[in-house]
Amino acid sequence: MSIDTEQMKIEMQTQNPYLPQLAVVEKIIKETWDTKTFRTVFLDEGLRETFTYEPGQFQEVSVFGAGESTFCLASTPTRQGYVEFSVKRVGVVTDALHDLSEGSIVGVRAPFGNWFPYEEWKGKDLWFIGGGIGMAPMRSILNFCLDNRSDYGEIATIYGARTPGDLCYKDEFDEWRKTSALYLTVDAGDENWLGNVGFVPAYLMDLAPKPENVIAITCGPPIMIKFVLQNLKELGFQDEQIYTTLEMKMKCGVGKCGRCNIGTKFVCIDGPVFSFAEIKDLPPEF
Amino acid sequence: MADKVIAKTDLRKWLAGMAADHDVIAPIGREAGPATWKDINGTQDIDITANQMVMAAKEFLLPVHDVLFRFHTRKGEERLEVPDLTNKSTVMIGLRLCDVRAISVLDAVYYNQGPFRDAYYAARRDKLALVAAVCDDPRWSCFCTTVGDLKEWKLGADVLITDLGDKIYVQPVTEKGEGLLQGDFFSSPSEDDVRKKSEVWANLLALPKRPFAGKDISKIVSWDDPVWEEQARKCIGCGICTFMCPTCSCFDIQDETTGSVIERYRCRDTCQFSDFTMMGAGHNPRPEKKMRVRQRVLHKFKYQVEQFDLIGCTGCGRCVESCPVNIDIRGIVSHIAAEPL
Amino acid sequence: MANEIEARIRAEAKKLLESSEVTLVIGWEAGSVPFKTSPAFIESPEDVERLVWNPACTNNLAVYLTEVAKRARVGIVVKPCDSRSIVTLVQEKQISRENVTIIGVTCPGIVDDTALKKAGVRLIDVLAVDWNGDSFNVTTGSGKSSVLTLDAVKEGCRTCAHRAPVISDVSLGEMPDANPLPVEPMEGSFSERREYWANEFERCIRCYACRQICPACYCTKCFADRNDLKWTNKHVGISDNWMWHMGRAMHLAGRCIGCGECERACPMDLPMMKLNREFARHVEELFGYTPGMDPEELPVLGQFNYDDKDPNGH
Repeated sequence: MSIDTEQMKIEMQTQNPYLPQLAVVEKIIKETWDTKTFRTVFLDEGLRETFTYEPGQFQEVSVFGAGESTFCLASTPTRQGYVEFSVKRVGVVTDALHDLSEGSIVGVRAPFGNWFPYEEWKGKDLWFIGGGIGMAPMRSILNFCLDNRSDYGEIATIYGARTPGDLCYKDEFDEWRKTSALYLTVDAGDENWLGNVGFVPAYLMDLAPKPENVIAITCGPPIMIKFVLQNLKELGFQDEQIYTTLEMKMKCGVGKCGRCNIGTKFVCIDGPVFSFAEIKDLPPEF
Repeated sequence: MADKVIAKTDLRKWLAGMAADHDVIAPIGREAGPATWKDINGTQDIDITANQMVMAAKEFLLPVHDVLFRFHTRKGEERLEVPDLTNKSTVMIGLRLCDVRAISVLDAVYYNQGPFRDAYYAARRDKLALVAAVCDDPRWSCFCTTVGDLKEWKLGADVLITDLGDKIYVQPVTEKGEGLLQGDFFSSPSEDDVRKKSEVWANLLALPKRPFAGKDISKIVSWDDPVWEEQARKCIGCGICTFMCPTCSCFDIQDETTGSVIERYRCRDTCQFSDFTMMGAGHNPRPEKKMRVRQRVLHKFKYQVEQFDLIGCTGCGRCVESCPVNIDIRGIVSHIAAEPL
Repeated sequence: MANEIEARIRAEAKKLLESSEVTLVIGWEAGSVPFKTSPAFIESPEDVERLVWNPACTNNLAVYLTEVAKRARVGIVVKPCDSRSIVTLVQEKQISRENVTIIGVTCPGIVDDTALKKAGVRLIDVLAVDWNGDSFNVTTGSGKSSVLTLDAVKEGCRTCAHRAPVISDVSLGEMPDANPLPVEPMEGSFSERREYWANEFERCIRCYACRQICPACYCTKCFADRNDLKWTNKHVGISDNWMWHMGRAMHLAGRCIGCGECERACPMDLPMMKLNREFARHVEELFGYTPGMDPEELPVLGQFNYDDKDPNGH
């Protein structure tokens, strides 16, 4: 895929990046006790047809009156016509989103940021290692790769949550298992839980993927990423083989408001996707 | 483009002439506080060489309350209303060279950085002409010559004016600037005028430089320098340094509801507040004051140097002057450069 | 007077640090320019030579106590007004009296750059600001000294009736000869006052320096920072600016000890002391209470008595 970045830049510069497009909430899926997934569809029919994005990119969603917040696009551009994003209830805007019902109007500014270099990954095995709400950006690239299944080698996912009830995207597990491996783990099981019990980094060591021709993508709480990274290194992975998405507070999404810089890099325009080779050069402030 | 002079008694005529097809804004002082940029439209006398602190030019380019749009919520009539950005062309008169430089820094962020241009900033900037005054009486906090080359900075202005006592020496820098110099009250400068103007300019360039001048601290600065903690202990975490800074432009975006209309606006925000980077779920990448102190200094002296090849500090001295606990950015940079203040 | 007191401050600080009675002494040190000082955090006896005492020692250092005196025992150099801030903090149980060792200094008033400018001093020329008895010597470039009278003190000091610390473990200096100006009720009719304050509040840029510099503003989450309950919006405009300043003034009624640091810190020169003094005057009239005098006393608005006067006369 080739993108005329200069042309893209000119087009973007003539737009007003602060104006949201109106979208209707078509579907709300209650994933867990504190997380919901929203499917939105643009009101503008033309935009519904032309809007596209890349796995790993993010959007700014407005609940008018409450404000705007940043969410990664959790759906895949291979499934056109709508976008999905998952929201954990933590503050004012996420509260307001959780209070919405199907049919509500929201504002969407998208897509922003860079994306997973899936072109470079062709022919390789992929290991997705996610924890908690960190599964959201990985769901986008995972479904994208599953929709382009023949481009990739083995695909495996380790997904952990605190309890079985905290696992998101349960409806899709069977679908994922058809053409890829899915390893679930929880910190604490319940009487019905038959899967693994333990933290994600430890489970990774149990499964011990070999690093040859493998890309590892990890996303989750900072403490999980820290130990996943340590363990991947122990398994022989190089920094260039490991990718993550960084999360920072954002307001504008377009490199102006000044909150999401890590040293010279702005997560909103230089990220949110980084390889660990790139992260190593960043100051430790994320 | 030819230099001109204008008698101070004719200044008002010039301003009134410009006001016919421009908004003319100039710093208007009051007894207390810094002078603020007011629409004068040629009806007020201005003292272009007043030594009073002036609010930074960002007051115009990035207003403290900047409406992005209004959303009308009435059921079935939902729509966005965007403010009219086709504003009148504006002349800012009375900026200093540090202010001109500051606009170059803001241009780098709001006009040229990354794939997006800031539509609101650009609309104002596109129609803005800068008439800058050459300082003949620097303030105690000034250190412009230490952080930059005034000969380069002045190219960012459209017109340069120099106070010669009873007259003003006027130099067009750009064609846009030359277009502003219309009227029979302009005359050609005498040799004496030229000499006097050159003296003022030479005096300004001779403003003593701090020993750290010319040292690029972006390459030598240490992330763990004890200076961050030392300064952070004094720092009370107010935002004055950034609010007054001509290049600090970080903002917040907020919604405010009145009846069925929701206004979305941006307002100033600052890296000095811990809430600035605090995420909804409670994680804060800059939880400690020393990190925030470091962010302010490094943003100007390292990050922007690496991003745009320009120092984000213009040496205007506003933060030095306003800090209630005397945190002096000149001292911090001197320390990093291992030079005396 | 100054050098002797400065020497004694250093000696006391050294004693405290050497005996390990405290791990930290907060005082003032020379600023980056001669007419300013800066808060100093002294942790080793060798560093006490950094401490200074001159008419530019304006910062109310009690503002740092809520952060540091919770963890360890600290020494602090205070002027009378600062000592009253400590009393307030003790009354409101923000710090424990046992955790602070107070070196108190008498004070005839302080000069800040606004006061110097008002007195016609060109700041760029200033080489030194020293005590001259109860007045100030300002030395400028040409080597000339000019003596400023007590009229040239910072705004907060003009009406100060407390020239000796009300609480201290070591007290230094003699009682200065200073006559405070009386606090007059705010002038004008209701609508005139409203117009006056609207005009003043309008220029506020909401940098919150007034809050951050204030020892009495120690809330961990200020009402102005709450985004769940929006008491005030971030909107910089008269309505929200008004809400901010009146909200703050109300919260300080009966607690503000009048050091004037808020007004000094304000980059827009809002006359906040006028407001604080008016509230203080009302509290004094209604309850006969002067804040920051007795650590054992309950905060005036934190208690209720049956014979409290009702301002509305009910």
